[in-house]
Amino acid sequence: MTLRPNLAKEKLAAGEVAIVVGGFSSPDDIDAFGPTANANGIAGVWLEGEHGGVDASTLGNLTRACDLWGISPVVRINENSQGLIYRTLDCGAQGIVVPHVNNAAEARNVVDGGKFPPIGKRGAYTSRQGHGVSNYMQIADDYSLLVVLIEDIIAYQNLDEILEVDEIDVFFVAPSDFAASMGHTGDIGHPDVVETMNDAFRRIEAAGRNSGATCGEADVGRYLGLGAKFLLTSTGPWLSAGAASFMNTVNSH
Amino acid sequence: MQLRPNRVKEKIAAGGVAVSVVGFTHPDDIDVFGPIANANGIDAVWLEGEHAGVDPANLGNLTRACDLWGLTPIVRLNANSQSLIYRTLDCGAQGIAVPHVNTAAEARNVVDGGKFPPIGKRGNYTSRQGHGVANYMQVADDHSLLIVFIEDIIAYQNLDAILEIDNIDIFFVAPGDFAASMGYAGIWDQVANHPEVQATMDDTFKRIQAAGRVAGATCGKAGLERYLDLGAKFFLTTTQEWLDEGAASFMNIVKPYTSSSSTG
Repeated sequence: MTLRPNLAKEKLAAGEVAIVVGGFSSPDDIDAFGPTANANGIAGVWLEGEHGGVDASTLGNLTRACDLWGISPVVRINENSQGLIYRTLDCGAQGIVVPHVNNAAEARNVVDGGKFPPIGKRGAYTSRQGHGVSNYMQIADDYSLLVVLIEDIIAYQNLDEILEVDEIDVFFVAPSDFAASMGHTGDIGHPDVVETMNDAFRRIEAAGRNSGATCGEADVGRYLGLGAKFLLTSTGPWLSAGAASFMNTVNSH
Repeated sequence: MQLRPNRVKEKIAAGGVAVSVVGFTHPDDIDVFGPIANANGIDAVWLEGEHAGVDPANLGNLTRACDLWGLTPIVRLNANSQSLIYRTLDCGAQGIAVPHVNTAAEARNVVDGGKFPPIGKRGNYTSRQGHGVANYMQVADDHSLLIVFIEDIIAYQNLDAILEIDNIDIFFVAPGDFAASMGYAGIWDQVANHPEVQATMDDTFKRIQAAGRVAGATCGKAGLERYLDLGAKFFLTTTQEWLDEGAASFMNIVKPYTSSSSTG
């Protein structure tokens, strides 16, 4: 038996854009979304464990629902902890997103938690993804997706050294914390914030690495134009638009 | 997109013997068992909702773990209720086992709950198994497995009428309640092995086979040959015996290191 493919990682390797969707907290909802994701070429589901309720006790069921539809379960964790990174992979995540990675040593810590020796220091254990896969330990590193969040002005200042750390698949530039760290809390449209972020995207691309962004329909074009290859979007606006359209018909009847 | 195959139903249709395993109450444990099941040709996981905690709130996760390994999730229900039958199918079960089916009318009630019109009266809803399957309502009936329990002496007395009900896949002959209904309550293995109970059960198996229907049985390794000889095509077995044997074997190796002299 071979390890399940990591669709998001495969798309990035092929030079394609990988889209992950956030907004699911129940396995049944992911399961209902599966055919929609498949029909639309969506690569993954973002499971929120930095701010939301995703943890080791819920990950088995959440990631299994993703497995069933061949979409990558990507988990944002709460801190840059090697133990938390590998436990999250062990519970079934195919991708790990680590917030507030601000220097090369912190990026290196993500790799240490996410890859087995000799690359890193991931604790030896067969992941839920490894059931029935006899060579799991040998190939797991090729299937795990590591994403670091560049979301503080200090990370921007250290960007060159962060970009030299191998084995990081995506350098994800997140606007809200970025703006806050620049003294513009809540104002992601501030010209200084926009220009600094734009420069971060350009430098990531210039270094031959993949950048990631969070966006909706309104700004996806901007990030694609900046070379972003990994995009997080949310079901929230889809629900809002659908509800508005539906209620518009109801109310105009 | 096609509806997931129902492995048990396919095996039985092909004249083979289908095996289900009980003993899992958590999706992660089913997931661990998946490759073992696949490597050994096991067909199904039996989820216990007559006596244990399987219900609509946990069926999504439990049945999804089965889907991932192509195993048929079979749920035993607590009552012969049409709405409970179709809700259980809606939540992801591929097979339904209904206890204490004692008359043709009760068997017919299982079909009414388990099949859409015109065959039955199943309520219209897309099952979790139907996500992405455009023709779910048209093909669902061909994929749902219905099992009735023949486990009371009154069911034995009504067996001919019960066996005339179409769309029941398996007539499952269960010894424990069977013996109790014949007045032999007591230690499970002893009452099930009572000659009068065995003779009645044997006759049940023979009549099911003679009617061209499929019989099911529950057993461990010890009883397997007997039921195979009786023509049973569906089996329920439990992980308990495997755990017992594995633990005993393991501890047998450990034992010399935990002798009274070293613990003393």
